[in-house]
Amino acid sequence: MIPDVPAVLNGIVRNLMMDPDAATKSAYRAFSDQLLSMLLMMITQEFDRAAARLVEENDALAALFRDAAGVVRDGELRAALEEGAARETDSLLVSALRARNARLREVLIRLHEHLEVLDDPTAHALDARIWEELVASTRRRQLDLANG
Amino acid sequence: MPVPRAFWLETDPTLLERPFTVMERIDGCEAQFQALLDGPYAAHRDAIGRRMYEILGDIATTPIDHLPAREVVDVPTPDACWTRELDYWERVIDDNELEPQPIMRAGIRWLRRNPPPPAPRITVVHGDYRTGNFLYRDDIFGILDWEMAHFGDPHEDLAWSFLKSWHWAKDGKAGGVIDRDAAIRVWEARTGWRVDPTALHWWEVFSNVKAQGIWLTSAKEFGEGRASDLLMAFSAYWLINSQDKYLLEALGRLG
Repeated sequence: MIPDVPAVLNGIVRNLMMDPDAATKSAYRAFSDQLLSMLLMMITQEFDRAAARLVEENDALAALFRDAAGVVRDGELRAALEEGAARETDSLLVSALRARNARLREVLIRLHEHLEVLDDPTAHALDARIWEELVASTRRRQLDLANG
Repeated sequence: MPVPRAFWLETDPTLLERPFTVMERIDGCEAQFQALLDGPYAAHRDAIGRRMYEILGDIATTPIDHLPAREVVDVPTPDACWTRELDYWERVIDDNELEPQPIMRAGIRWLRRNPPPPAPRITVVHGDYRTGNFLYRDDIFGILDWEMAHFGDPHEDLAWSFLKSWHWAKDGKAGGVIDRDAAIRVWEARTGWRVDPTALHWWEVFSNVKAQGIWLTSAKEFGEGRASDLLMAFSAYWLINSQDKYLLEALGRLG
């Protein structure tokens, strides 16, 4: 068995932070190594959770689209919602999940723009759900070391 | 106003990939914000915070009628300041987003539906006025990074300086150095003008869109191999999602 990716990345960070030549580094080099260490720690967290957070977000958007498709009158948008809501046998490659996520977020923007100018209770309720989903998306994407 | 003097402008892009200026060197100063928060200059933090907003007042009250910059920079009408900036930064997001940005798009729509009052006056706007962009010891000796300077609404610089991305100390202080209300009082006393809270709020919401435009550009430049500075990849991981969160907060959507 080989060490998994987070273990290797954490090992690289340890090497950077315990560099025996640290005292002789230029200020620029020391700053650059510090930056690289923090970047690697964030990449480590993202590597481990990326597929899980993308599946969760794609499922949340698909559920939202299923509910919205029943009330949206614009035919083109309704078709895009139905397509987005359809269950896909996704590849679990992060690149494939990200590609689907991008398609869904594009439709989400169209849906949000469509709903926010409608003046009826159903549209308002869906609009509120979109804002809840946007807040949830920032929580899913938050990295422990990111700017708080 | 403490700024390094510009000596030369080289317009030939073949020498350093793009046109550049040669500026006066200011020795013996610190630029990193960390040294102001808990480092050797922490004792000067309050004074520097006040000085920061006095200087911003001086920038805003600089008479613009005879500035040479007018020969090369457009002066917008008071009611066009916001559209010019918003149009520009929306285009930056259009051109550089690596994935759709539903939070930024909602913010841009809000900004267009809720325009600010016309600028009370047209002033010099630094465009990137914040801690980290000046040289200091026990006082401020050089305001740097003027590359986004333009003419516009003076609320724009105030709002940008208050952006949560620069709350380095995580204590709610603008730039980690001064309370927002205190900063406004210093600026108002220096300029003799009153801040319009409605205008300031609009420009604060806008500042989140502009900042995200910068982070998205860095991410794309690094991701497509046109830049190798690690800071550009770092800022993408460190700031893009946070900027979305700060925009939600500015719009009153975050708890």
